[in-house]
Amino acid sequence: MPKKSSKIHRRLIKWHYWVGALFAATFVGFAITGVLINHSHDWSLDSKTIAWPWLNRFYGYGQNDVKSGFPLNSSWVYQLGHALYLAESKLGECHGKLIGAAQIDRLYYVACANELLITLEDGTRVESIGLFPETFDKLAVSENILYAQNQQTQRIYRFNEEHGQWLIATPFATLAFQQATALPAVLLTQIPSAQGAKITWERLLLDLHSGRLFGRAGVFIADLIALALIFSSISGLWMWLKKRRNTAIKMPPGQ
Amino acid sequence: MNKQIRRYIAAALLGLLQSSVVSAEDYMDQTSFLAQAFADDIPPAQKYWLKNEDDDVAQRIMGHSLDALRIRYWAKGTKSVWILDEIGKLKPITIGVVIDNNTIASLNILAFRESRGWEIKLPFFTSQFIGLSLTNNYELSDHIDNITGATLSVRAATNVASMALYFSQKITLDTVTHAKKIEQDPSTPN
Repeated sequence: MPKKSSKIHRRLIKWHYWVGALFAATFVGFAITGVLINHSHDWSLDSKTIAWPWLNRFYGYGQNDVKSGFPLNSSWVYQLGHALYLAESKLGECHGKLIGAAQIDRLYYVACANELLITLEDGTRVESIGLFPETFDKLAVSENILYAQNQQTQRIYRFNEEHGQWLIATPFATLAFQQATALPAVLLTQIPSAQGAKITWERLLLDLHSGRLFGRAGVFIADLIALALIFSSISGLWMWLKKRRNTAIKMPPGQ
Repeated sequence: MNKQIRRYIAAALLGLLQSSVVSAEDYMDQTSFLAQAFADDIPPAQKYWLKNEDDDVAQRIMGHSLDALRIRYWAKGTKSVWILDEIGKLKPITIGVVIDNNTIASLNILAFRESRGWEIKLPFFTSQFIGLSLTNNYELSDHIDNITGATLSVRAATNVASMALYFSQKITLDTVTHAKKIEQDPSTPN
């Protein structure tokens, strides 16, 4: 007579069924996105772009609803998606939020959360400083020196032009940090039309597969799904082995 | 299930979840990198003003112009250090290269902003660059092994290494040329 199922075995079956039922759809999703990613180049998914306006806005592209910017000399600097503009001319790109702009001597300094563009007055790029000690939220200029601050840590940094880096600072006077200001109506009518779609199918699949599409929470959930898959596989294998063993015990010898 | 076993499993799960959320921007700050390169005796930053021929070389090595008028570098004796940005897939990767006697002494990934391809910051990859120099065709003197799933990041690192070697040769040449000018005409400005 085969042994009665142990308590552990019964619990394992129960957990296996429940995990399988709860996560079945996500397992299928994982597998499908995984296969598509594996063949993304063969099926041109790494070059085909998605032209869904809501998705492009979600990724920060194609935004044509910019309303504010920062005055610079007699013009304005604003951000359209990742592109930076001085009036109608494109200055360059930065992947963080635009936090301010200033002219010091004959150079323009356009600061984003983690990048500083230095240009001539005609927009010609002189240099780009990309290594920030932390993300910045605000920019100020005092006595021809650039200052930036991280709102969360409240730390203030001073830009050292000689070394091309931000150094922690304790300013003597209160700094007047820049605030984005409403762009003049005339400029609003001249803003370039929405940037073309740049999200490829491969990018979307990668972000879906990893959970990163939904930020940190999405990554945690993707980890949970992976753990559930591991559990289901191991528990399923264990149950199969157990059943085989029980079947072998049931069969009389010689059959 | 035994309470202790459940606790162990819970702890393991938490650890796994914690480690899975890797920041896409882990980096070494500029000061630490320079201190490491120059044994804490960091020279002042210098500016290299780019010429048309440099853009032509950049087009050849990286497939695009440098889009800048100058880049900063630090140099002392035979050693020079370059910190350059290059786009991986969509976002820039900040790479620091230490050159000594026109060969790569070390290469470090200082900031990585993409969601994949971060493996290039691991020593098993960056150590491949040590000892490499630039050929007459503006290529590295040895092959760099690719990392599956990080092709564009690998390409960015390789391109930056080649550009840093090129710039290192240029400043060496400029220094020698300038020294010869001073020899011939001591009134030549620095």
